Amino acid sequence: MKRLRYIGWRLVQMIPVLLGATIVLFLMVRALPGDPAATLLGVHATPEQLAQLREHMGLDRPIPVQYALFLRDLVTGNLGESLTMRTSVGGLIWDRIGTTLLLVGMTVAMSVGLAVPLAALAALTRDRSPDKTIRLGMTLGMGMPQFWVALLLMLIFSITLHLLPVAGYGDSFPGHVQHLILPALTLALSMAAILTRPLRADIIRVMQSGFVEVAQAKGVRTFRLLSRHVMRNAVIGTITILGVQVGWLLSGTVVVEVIFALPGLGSLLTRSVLSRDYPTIQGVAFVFVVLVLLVNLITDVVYSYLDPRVKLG
Amino acid sequence: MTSSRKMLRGLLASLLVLSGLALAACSSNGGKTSTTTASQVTGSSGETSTSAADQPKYGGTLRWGWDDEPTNLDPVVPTDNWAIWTILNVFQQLVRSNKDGTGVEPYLAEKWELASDNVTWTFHLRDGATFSDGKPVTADDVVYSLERARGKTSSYSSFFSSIASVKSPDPRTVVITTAQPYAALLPTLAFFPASIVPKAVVEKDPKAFGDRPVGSGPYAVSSWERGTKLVLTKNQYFKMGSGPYLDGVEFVRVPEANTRLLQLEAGDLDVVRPVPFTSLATYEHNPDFGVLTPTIMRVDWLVLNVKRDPFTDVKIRQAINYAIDKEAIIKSLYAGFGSPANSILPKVPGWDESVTGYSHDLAKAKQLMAESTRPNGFKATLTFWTGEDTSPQLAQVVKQNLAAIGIDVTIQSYEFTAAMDKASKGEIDIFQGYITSDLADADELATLVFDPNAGTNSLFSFWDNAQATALNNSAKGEMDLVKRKQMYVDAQNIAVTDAPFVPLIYPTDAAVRSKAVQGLSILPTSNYRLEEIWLDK
Repeated sequence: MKRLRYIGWRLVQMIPVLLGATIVLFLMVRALPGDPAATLLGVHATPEQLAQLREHMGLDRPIPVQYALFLRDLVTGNLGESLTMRTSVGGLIWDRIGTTLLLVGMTVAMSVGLAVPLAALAALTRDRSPDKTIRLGMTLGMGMPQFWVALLLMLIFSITLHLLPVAGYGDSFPGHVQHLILPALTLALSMAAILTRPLRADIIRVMQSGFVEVAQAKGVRTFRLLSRHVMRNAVIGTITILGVQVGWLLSGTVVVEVIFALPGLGSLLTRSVLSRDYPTIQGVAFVFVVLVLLVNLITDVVYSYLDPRVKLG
Repeated sequence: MTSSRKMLRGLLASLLVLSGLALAACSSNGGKTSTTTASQVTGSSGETSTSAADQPKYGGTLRWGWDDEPTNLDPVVPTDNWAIWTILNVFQQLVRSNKDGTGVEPYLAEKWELASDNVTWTFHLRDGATFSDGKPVTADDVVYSLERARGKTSSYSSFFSSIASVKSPDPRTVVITTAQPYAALLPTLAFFPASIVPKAVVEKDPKAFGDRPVGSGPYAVSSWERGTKLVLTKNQYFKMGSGPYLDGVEFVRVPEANTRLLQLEAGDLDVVRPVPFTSLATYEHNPDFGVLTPTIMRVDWLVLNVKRDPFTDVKIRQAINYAIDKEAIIKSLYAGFGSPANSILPKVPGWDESVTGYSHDLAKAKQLMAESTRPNGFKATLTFWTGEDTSPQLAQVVKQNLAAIGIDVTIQSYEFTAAMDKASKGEIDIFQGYITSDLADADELATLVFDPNAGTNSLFSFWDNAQATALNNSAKGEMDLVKRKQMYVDAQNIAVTDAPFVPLIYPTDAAVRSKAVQGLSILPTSNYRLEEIWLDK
């Protein structure tokens, strides 16, 4: 009950943050040099055509008026119409958000799936060769550029081994998952690298604590020791890092989306920035802000489940 | 500790098993790889892919990988290349650009006459033209479409400003009257905004038309997942020639060039365009693929801001022209494809090889510099827009070339919109870029270049030569082909002498197809005719 109240209160607190975000977005986008009408019409445009198109796009009105109209529409759930594609921004986002969320979800699952066993292995073999190899691998993983890793994975798994498709998104849900394996792996490799080091350190620290000594003395087997006793305590710090990483991931999928030709929010944002499609930029950026705030909230709630000493609100 | 060592082995084992399971669980997509043979068979590098002299086969779906996609398919809405190429296959126009880039040929109109007053054009529509929804194309639709093209909602109305009225005296005839004699009317009617749309469908829902267009061209849009795939299917009512052969074409958006090529190699795509020039060599000698490098109406250039000191000095501008080594640029950046540019106009009708451009002559360049207002050289900035493969390297070559005559160049790049903004405000010294012609006619680009009031201040050079402008204006209305061409040649020669521009290269287009794809050719106007393509499978 207390948790629900906390969650409710946090959601309410989001509103002023979102409002502030819309103002910043609105102004920032319009501060970009170059204007959407000129970008659309190109070199051939006459001044009259430009003026006409700007009027059509609603860009000739004073900025506060434009902002007020934007807010009014936002409150009713209308994110406006794309200047370049002449189709609803909400529709564009709705079509793509599934891809981005699925990609982020698979990336998190893979990075956790990689980081937890690797960190545990490294912690248990501390300073011996498995640990050293893993730490070296993690340093390399953090340094490798995504672009390069992506192409390498394509060459190995698609071209040479014929196991996975090169790019694209596929047709059905199983198809989507299959097509996202390489993209998610590309992202997961660097994310796992970031998660493994602190997790390893935390496992080592927790393993040295009193209650672990007691459990070992009682004869608890190592695997059970880790899964029931150590992990719950060790992951707390890493959860925070994971929460931040997921926030980054939401918009950090752009490179991977472009290389693997995935119809996600990241590539939509890139295209709309390049064409100065203000409503689409605002809409997508706004959705990102909402998602990041939600991820922060979820992180805090998960935290409270893991550590009963943490009091919410 | 024994238990932890056992656990270690357990952990390692489970990691291995997991990864093995993961790999096995992913079903193979059965991609095919092509093997590069050591054979010296040269792939086709001309304009058309070599057909094996077989009879075209009907059926199949062509999968085409492109780097972006249309924003909107309504012919009069602001559009980009991908939209243009699609519109030209989904809709028909009264006439269309011919395959050698010299002009137009009949399309929806099977013949036409120009009255002796030189302003009244009468077009006779062909029999049996039908929209993909089964309704016939009528003269009413033609009138509606052209009025729409030159009306308020069209972003291209200025292109049709020469038209005074469009009428249909009977259901098979359309009469277009121009305000003054306008020599480029036919190419203008082949221009994509002049596509013929069904009046009833557009009026019912003009907004939706851009997503779900209906045209009388050989292919119709069957589905469009924005950002991913645009699927066209055969228009069963299209009857001109023996095509269309393919049941459908899928245009897949793959922004990254390497990915596109990998997909082609894996057999996931049949055609890939564009292809970086440096990658073409791999496919040229590979019998499983064909390479296309057709000449297109494009020119890559440097533009000098003649209002900025010291580019006000014509000797400096001429020196710069002499200093650039175009052959070296073609070899190093374009893998040998393309030709040196002699004129600021690309190879449109009106361009001529007799226009004597500048050769690479370092001695002459140095001499001109010595005679100029800056014999000891000067500093300047070169600006280009980002997003093009070859721009940064081209800028480096230009910088080196100009260093040899004492000009110290700093290179700057901006994103396209920002670069255009600066250029139009006259804030750039040397502007590096390119332009293509949408019309199979000199008018579009010649006006941009020779008329400072046409919207870009003479392609951002701020050059103003009354004689060149007058020649361009006369050429607009000159119906005699020979006289008209001579006017453009004269204007180009003036541009060469005055040297506000430094034309660099006429590059080619670049595409790669798998060997099963036949009948593919890219026209000088950069578009392609899907109804000519068939799959030899």
